[in-house]
Amino acid sequence: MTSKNKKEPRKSPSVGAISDFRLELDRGEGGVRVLINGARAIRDFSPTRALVRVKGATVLVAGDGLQITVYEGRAVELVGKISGVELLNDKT
Amino acid sequence: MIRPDYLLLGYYIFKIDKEELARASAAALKEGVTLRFGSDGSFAVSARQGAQVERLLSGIDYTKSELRGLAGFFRKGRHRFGVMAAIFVFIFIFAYLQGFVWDVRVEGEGVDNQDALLSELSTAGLFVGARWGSIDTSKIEARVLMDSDSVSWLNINRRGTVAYVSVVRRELHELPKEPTGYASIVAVRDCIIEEITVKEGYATVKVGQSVKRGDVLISGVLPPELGGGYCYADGSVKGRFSERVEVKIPCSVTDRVLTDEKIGGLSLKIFGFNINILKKYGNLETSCDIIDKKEEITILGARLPVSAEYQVIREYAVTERQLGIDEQAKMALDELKLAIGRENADGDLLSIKTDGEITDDGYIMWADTVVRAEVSSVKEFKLILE
Repeated sequence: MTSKNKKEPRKSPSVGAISDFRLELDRGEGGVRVLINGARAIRDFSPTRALVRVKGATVLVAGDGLQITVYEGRAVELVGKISGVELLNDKT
Repeated sequence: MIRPDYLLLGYYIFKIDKEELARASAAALKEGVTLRFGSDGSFAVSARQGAQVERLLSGIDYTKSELRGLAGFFRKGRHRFGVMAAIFVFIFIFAYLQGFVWDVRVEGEGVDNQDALLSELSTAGLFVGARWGSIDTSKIEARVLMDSDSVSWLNINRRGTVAYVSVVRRELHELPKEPTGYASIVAVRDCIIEEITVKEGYATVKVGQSVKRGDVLISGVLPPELGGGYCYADGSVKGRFSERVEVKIPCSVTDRVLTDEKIGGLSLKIFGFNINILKKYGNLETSCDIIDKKEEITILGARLPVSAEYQVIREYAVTERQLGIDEQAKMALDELKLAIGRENADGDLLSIKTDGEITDDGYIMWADTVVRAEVSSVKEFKLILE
């Protein structure tokens, strides 16, 4: 009888994450709040523009005085004077 | 705003260039770390996550502050044994003192003698300086209710280090005594009868009849047709009468002007013990007000058993001021209204006519009123049997 020494798999940072893309828009502290669930990467960020890659698309948030908060579970929150939110299809 | 758990357990403030915000936020997203970036590129990280964030920011220039919050304070002061010891001693003493009664406050309307009640509470076991652990509020409430003549309900509540005693005063009602003997009801003034209500006795006047002061209105001597005999007359008689109400306002008034204010005495009260710091003896000015004041010290809403009591002496100068005619007339009218109200508190004012006159002494104003009010009074009499 042999015993296998099983190694515990490394916990992925994506555990508990909302994998499907979902976007919420409402009023928050400091202005309008955009919450992007299912974020995969942040391609660009500045106080006037943020590009967040999600599954199959990239979300472009434009505005002024943008502040970013990154949450464990693949959620990204942007707060500020937001002038527009655009969904850019990866294929286009 | 820093999170409360960061303040308690310690945190670092990291700062990066604004141009690196994209890289840093992307790294945080990839690692699954929660970070809130400020517009200036700074962000707070808990002490526990400090090393993980440093690894995450590899390749990015950053500055890291020293450990902040309560944990940071203790880390900085770990070599200052005296300061740390003093802080711990203070915390220990403060926590220890929470186990004692710092103040006893009585709440409730109509409690005439608070000192007597506090004395009864003290005898029962509730006093400033008593240990909360040794106080049984139910037993104290029962004992005070048994011993006190002025309290009908009592409840003791503890709020922090203060004992709040809610009290309802006992009200004693005397039963009305039945009248004995004989009496008639007579008029207290000259008037015209408006209304008669007889409960006991025999009415000797009619509505519309004019009577003089002292006339019998309801007799305690019953006529033969009512069976004769004597009784204690009872009833009510209302009459209409005229009267003049007059007021006089002088030509000048005296005003008191505050000229000086000073402290007359100062003492500290600690746990009920009085320590005199400053006391002035001797005759004080006669034209002054002496005000006793008390200042209490509170910390975070808890009142300490330490207070300062002091006297404020206010000195005044008296000056005479002449009144103008308009002012005299206004004051006279106000006084007249009050006087009419006092005279006819229980009656109905049917008509009023006012007039005034300026004299050498001042301004006189009068009102001729017609009033309808109770005019009866009980007059007892005795039988002399020969």
